[in-house]
Amino acid sequence: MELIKRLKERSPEYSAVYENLISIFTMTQGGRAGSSSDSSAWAQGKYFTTKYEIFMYAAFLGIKSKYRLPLTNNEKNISFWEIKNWQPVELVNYLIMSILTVSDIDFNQLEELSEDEVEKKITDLKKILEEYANGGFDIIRAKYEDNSTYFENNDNCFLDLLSNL
Amino acid sequence: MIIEKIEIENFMCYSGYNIFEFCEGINVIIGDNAYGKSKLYDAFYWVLYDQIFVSERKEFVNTAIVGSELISDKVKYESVDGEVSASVSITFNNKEQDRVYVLRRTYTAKIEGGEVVKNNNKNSVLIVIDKEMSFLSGSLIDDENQKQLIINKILPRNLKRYLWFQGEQVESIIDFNDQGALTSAINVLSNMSYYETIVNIAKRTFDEVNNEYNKKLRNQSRDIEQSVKLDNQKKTAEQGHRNTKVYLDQTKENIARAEEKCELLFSKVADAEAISKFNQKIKKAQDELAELKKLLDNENSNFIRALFQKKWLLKGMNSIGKEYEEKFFRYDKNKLEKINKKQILSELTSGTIETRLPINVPEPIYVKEMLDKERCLVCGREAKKDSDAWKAIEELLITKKNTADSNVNDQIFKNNFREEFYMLYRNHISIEDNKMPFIEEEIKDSIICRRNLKIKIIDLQNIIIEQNEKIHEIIGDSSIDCKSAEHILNEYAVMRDKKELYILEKNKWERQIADYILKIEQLNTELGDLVKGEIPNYLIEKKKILSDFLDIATSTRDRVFNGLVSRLENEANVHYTSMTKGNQATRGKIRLKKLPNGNYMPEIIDDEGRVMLGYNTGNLILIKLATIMAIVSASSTDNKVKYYTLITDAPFSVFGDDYTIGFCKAVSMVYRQSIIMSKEFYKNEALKIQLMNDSDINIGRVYMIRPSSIECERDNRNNLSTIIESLN
Amino acid sequence: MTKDNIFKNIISDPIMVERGYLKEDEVDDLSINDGGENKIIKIIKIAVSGVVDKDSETSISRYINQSLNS
Repeated sequence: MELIKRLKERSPEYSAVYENLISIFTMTQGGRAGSSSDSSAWAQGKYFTTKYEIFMYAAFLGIKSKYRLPLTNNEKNISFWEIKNWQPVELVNYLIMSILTVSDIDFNQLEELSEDEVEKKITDLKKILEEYANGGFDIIRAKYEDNSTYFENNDNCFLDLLSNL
Repeated sequence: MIIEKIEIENFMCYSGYNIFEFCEGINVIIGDNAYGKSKLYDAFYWVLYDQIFVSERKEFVNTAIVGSELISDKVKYESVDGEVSASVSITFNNKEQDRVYVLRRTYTAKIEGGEVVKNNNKNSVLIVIDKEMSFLSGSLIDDENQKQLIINKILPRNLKRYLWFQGEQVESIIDFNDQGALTSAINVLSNMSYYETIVNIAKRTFDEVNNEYNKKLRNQSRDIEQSVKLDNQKKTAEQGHRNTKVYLDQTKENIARAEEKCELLFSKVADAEAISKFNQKIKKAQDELAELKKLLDNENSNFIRALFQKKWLLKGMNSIGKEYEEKFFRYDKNKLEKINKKQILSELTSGTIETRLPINVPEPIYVKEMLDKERCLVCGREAKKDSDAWKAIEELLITKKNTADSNVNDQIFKNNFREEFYMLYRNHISIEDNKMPFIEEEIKDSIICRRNLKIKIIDLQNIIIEQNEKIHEIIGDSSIDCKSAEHILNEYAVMRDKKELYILEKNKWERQIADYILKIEQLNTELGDLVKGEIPNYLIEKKKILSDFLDIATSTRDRVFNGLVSRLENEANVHYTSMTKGNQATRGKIRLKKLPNGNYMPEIIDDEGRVMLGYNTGNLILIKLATIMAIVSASSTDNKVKYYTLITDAPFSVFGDDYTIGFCKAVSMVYRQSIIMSKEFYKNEALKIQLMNDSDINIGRVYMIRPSSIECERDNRNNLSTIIESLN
Repeated sequence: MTKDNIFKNIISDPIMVERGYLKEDEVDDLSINDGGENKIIKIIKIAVSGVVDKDSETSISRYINQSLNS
């Protein structure tokens, strides 16, 4: 049984309230496959070509900011692509590594658990990922509401957002 | 003669009785367009010449044709039955002799039932009254010839077009392209016809003696047949000679025209070349700009992608990596301890201590010590952290653990995630080594690169704007636009080539002419050789004298003509100078340049004799006016026109305010009396005040005219009369 | 222009001196009233006089021819 492989089978969710925000910065695509060229992303004023990209960004932002925000149940949540499809793989792995690090899961203990229990841990890990991403989205949203020109006139906005911590 | 007054009754827009009184100096009639200035001019002209100037046709038309249109609409409208007349009366005063002439012309039409009776060929009637002394009542002149004599005294035929003219006529009065025009003008200065006639006589007498001589030659010939043959050849050659001269003249004309065109274009060429150069610069800049923009777009999209592709997203995440490392090593250590514990226990319980380790591989705890000490304890060599040696040692630890644990793992642990955890670890190390150290730098470089591109782009855009401004400046000054710039350059090149061709042609004709002359000489010699007798001396001498006479007469005529042109030029410059005095900027002086075909073209040159300006309407009109004035003033005593009055509505609008005052000054200095119609002073109050108060201007009477009905009522002319207001 | 003016204009033409009809210093001294010895000067006078008096070209030519025939 493999831990990470199975984690990658999951599709994380994000809160529907961020749908609008996501679409502002992400290329709209037919279907979930993002195959638009990079230059057209720039031309359209978008920063991310796929949803998982902005999700990854939000997750890293949340982790770096140590800002974990649980999703509330009454909000509709939207899921998208399975993690195993995300690119680039090194970043995805790094992300998983980060989640494992900030979680309080004990590796040694993990190896003692039954299959069902492992599955439950995997679910927990997914939840942690979602919550950090949620935090990241909240940070983005807050910045956008405070000062939308931050994103408009500044090509480096997302990069700066990561650094301003 | 001075014009004392003009009385206009029911003539055109002047319904009822109207009078303008004039004195010496410059008299001005001020009014806007269509207020009656032209009709006033018509009134003057009509009295003397029974014609009015029709603007649309740009020519004078007889009364007979114009007919009852001469009569004011108002008076026609107001009478139902009977006769209506238009009449204009001018009073001329010859101050020197105290003699007054009154000329009155009347045109009558019949009205029946409110309609004008159409009668063709109805003429106007001219009455001339001669008052030998101004206070006498004067006698009526009946004789038509007498009348014409008096009219000619008032305004000589050969001068009239230079003294009484409408602004629109200025263009054609002295059309420099027409040789006849200049010749007429020169003739005013001095009677060239005498010289022309003398040339004709010289030609004639020479031809006669030439024929006589040739006949004598033939008669004296030993071989008459041969003589006749040679004579015929000579005639052919002479004809060829004459023809070629014509071709030569034509070619010279072509050269002149091509040169003229070249000169005209030349001034534009410089501008056109400049525009072309600027356009090239712009094109180059635009190409560069497109390149740079592409680069910038590229950089921008790369920048965005770099978050993911270059792992910039992980900027500053080193601490997490380190945390994971610790967690992983702890996990690994714990796992190993557990395995070891279990092993020892099982060995203890089973009694065998198996060494599953290869002999030459140190124990894990020693390996760990080596890693910590950064030194291989086997060979004693240094193994700095992350060096190849260090990594090799680390390998052992892990390999060892793998080989050690794989079998026991299943027994001890439910799951073995070690491989995956290790994969994460390797991933982190790889990124930490290969990507993370460079992120800062990469980001900075990209930002700088993009900033530089942006700066370059702005610079290029500024260059383009600058070049465009320069082009607009040129276009503003001259009359070329971008499209015709290329066209002009081509045209200029074409003209130049044409000129070269014509010059070659000219040379050809000249050679041919030389050949003909030689041939004729040769034939003459042969003919002479055939002569057995002698040609009488007197005949030989006569022929020579008359030949020289012809040359001398021709040469004199040309000299005199050129001299008069010079005189005209100088006089014109006097006027041109005084007209342009107010405008220092670009004045220069007029030069009448002789063209190969004999015509003269005016140009404006600077002090060094270089051609200054290209033609624009304003300049040309000024030159023409100066020349027109020169024609009359140069032929008058003291160069002041004392006996004739200038009447004109010169096109001031073409010059601008400075020149208008300059013109008035010049006119008041040169003409004893002038009557000027103008609309410039109507609109421009300041100019009017300047006119009336300038001490350099000898101001006569000033009138303001306007129509009685306003613009929108003008369609109905039945109520139209002209209101005359005297301003001084 | 008077007859004299025209006459003087013609005889002051450079060709007169070039072809040996007159010497340079002689030019200014002559006028139309002076009897000129020179044949060419005689015919010039005839021409000028006739043209200003508005004689016909034919008759002027005849006078010139007569003058040169003797």
